[in-house]
Amino acid sequence: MSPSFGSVCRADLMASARLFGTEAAGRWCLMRSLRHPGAWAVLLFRLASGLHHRGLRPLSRLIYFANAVLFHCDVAPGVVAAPGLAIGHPAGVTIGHGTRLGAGVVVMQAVSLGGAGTEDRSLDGVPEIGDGCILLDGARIFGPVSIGDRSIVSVNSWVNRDVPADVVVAGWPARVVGPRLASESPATAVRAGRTGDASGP
Amino acid sequence: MLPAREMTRRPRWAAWEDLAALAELKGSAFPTAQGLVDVLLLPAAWAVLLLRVAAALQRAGLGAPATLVRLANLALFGADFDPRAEVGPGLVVAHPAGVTIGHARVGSRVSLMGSVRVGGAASGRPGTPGAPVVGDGCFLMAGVKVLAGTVGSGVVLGAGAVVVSDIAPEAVAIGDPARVLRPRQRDQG
Repeated sequence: MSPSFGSVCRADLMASARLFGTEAAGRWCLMRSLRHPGAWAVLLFRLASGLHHRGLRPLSRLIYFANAVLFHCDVAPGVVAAPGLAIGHPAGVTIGHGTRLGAGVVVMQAVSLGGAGTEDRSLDGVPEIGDGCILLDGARIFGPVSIGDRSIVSVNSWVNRDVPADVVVAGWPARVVGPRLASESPATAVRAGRTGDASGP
Repeated sequence: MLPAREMTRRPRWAAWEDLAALAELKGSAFPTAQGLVDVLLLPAAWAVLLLRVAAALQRAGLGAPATLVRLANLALFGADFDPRAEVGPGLVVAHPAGVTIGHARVGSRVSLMGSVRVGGAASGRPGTPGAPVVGDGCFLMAGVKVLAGTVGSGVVLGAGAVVVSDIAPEAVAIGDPARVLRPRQRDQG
């Protein structure tokens, strides 16, 4: 039994509130997170996805289209996303049909996920993103690549092979640059990994 | 009544400074009618004007209308500007598609090209020490991401640079992570 539509939307809004730092607003935190276009983009995706899985394809296409026009956020209704998805800035986010996102995934601006679209059949398939992963701006993941739980994909990285859990990956193609420690923020983790500087806020 | 000298020094509207800076970038005479028409026919001008409207509404305590203007900016131009961002006058966003300014501080007379982002890396706490700062007179080329740290005044960031720590003033910095390449030479722009 999958969770109800309302509880999934609630989990998404809670995730947005955590991302945008509005959960301090108490009972109004979910309303506050609606000040961010990312929260609206996730809700539109959930609506499109719900309609898609109930077989109402033309309607789901319409909502998907609206999301692309309004927020420049091109997330296919056929994306399989666990509850707690948060999109930081929706402009340029593209996620292809069938991509699997774990619980509590954070997607930042211009992230691109999906099939590799190639004649090489070994590259058929779509990415699978683990729970609690953070995909920073411009991360690109194509083909059957899995990202371990809680890992961070750094800015403008292209991931072409599987990534273990609890690490920071960066580069083109991406390689592991360091562990992700539970206590640190993504900015700190990326900085520590990229510059070898473990100090900082 | 202020002395005339003081009056001329009084800052004009930030939006006016933005249009003047854009006209300068585009080589239009400003403030002339021709220059104004030139500038207002660019999406760059309207995206920044909408940013100023949203910021003014936010300062006036009108959060919901500010959010609506922000959403309109995103729908029309693909530019996502947090109304709470502290942006100095003379901002130029040459190609607004994909440009994002989060809850960060941006100085005066800053130019941004396409797909630039200034904001924390999913830090979740606006105003924390992790929130980035861009100094006065910086020039950020296409695809620059400023995720953390302070970019000194007058810095040029080359295309695709990723800033995760402080950059000294008056320098040219490139790469991922961004490192200073050489000092900025003003006559070369």
